[in-house]
Amino acid sequence: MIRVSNLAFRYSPSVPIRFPDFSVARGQHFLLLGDSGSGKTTLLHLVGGLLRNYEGSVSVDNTELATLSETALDAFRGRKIGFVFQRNHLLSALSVEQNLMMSPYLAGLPIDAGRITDVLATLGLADKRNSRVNTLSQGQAQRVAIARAVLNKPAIIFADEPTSALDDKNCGRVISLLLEAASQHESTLIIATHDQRLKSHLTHQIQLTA
Amino acid sequence: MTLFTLVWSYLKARPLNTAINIILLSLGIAVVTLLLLFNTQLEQKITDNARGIDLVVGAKGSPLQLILCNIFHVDFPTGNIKLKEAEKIARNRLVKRAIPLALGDSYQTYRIVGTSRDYADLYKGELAQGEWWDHPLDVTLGANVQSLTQLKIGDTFASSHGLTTSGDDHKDHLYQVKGVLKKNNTVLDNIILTAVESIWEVHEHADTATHAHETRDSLAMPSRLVPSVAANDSVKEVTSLLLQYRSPMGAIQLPRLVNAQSSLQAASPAFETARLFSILGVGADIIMAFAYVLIVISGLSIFIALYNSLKERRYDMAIMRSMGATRTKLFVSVLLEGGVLTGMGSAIGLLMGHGVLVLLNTLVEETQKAGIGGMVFYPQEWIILGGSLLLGLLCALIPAIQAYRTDISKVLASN
Repeated sequence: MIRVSNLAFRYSPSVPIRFPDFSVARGQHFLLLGDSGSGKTTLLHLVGGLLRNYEGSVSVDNTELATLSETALDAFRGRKIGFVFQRNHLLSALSVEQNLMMSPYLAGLPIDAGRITDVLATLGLADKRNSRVNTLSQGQAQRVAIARAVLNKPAIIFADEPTSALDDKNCGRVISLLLEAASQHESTLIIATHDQRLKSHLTHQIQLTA
Repeated sequence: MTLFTLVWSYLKARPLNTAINIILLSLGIAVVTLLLLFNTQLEQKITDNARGIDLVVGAKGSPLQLILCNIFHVDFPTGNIKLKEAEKIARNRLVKRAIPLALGDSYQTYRIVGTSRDYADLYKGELAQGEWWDHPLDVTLGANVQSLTQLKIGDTFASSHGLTTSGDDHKDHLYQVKGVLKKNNTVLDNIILTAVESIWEVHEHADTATHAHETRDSLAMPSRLVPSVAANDSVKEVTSLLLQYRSPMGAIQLPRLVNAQSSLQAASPAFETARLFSILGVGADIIMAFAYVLIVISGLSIFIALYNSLKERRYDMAIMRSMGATRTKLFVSVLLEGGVLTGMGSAIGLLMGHGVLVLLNTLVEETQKAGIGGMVFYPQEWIILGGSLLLGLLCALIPAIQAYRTDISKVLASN
């Protein structure tokens, strides 16, 4: 599903950040570990197609990302990849339901109200459907973000520090929801984190060193 | 979910900001619309009323007053001229048509105009009911006069001197209503038409009136302007003479000919109304400039609002990109936001402009008399609408370019 080889990225021309080679099979769940500043987020953005102009090779679903145009990459992201970020970054002007609708809308997929109902029910958010996102608690908001990421049944889910802002109880809940949602659609799940609490949940791990 | 619902949600999320931007713009647009409606209708009215009249001849005084009084019936007469002198001018070979006007009295502020049938023909006046005036003291009412005074055919009334409502000065001479004209949106709507002789009869002493009939000489040529009196009658007076030239030569020779006589002056409606507009125009220009300042400020305010809200929405933009939104889509969404703001502002402004005039029309009788209404639409309003949409796009352009350039990775990584 994902194959990375000889990958390097330069924020400034003189200092390349190099990444270890690795590959992830379809449906596998990986933990991307490393201290702050070790390049976890950069790697995630590279593999997720948010960051371009890399050296080496990043192949996702048998597509070398560098060969895609900006617009093609946008479409690729929209259909194949779901993102969960540390701060949930829901669109504050919209309701929970509208936030979820954005996912298929922006990816150019048909909006399926039934699918939204299912996902909200699975994540225990059925009664929050029409709430405004700024009335949600942090844990609820993170669950909405997960719902949004899995709504299009993406092949890959990238989570960047999804739990570091949460307490133990919510952390456990969010990680098991992520794993559950990923397994349900056989999505590949990659979680970048320095949160040691997650180590016990996922066995496959990639360690980055600064 | 469409781009519009997204944009609308963002606008709704900042209700005060959105409202102030829309209000600012709509105020500016309303003033522009109001001026457009008012000026265009007024100009239209004035040219309509002055059409067919090439020159007004009256007593010496202000030429503008002569025009205002004798064409639009809004000012007082400059004085009277001798019928004999008017007759001379009317007989000039360069004059195609000459219409005498005898003014001075009114009924409930509606002016009584002593004239010939030519005057009604000039404005293509048609009878709605009854008949034309025939004998002295018969009158035919304009449509607005009838509807506002509620006079009926056969009713009699006494006129008062000048244009005031106070006191019936001529109780011993009662006018009788013979007919009512159809409304035709000219000055005819607001006046009372009668024969020139009526005015004489009301104002002269009874004995001279009879005297006039007695002295009528069968050998004397009848006056061309008022056939009931002799052409060389030295007593009778009229207020003015409306002239139509036979050829363009008239425009060159007649004014000079008239002005050379010590007691007469000639005024050209075209020239005087142009002068009037240039005087009024200064005021209108200042209001217009004020409206444009309002519009520019609202444009600036929209720009600032979009610019600031975009700073707050950098993450939203990046998130949308991560979900597959193209850069073009974000660019268009910001432009749309500017367009929706100014579109709504100008639509509300146009409505307000028309609304104010409709309101004015019901509250102020004068605008109704002038025939200026709010339910008139001009193609220029499309220009206002299009122009303000363009303004919106212009104000949204820089924020939209910023949205287009959002560096997703950098924004998302900078928690």
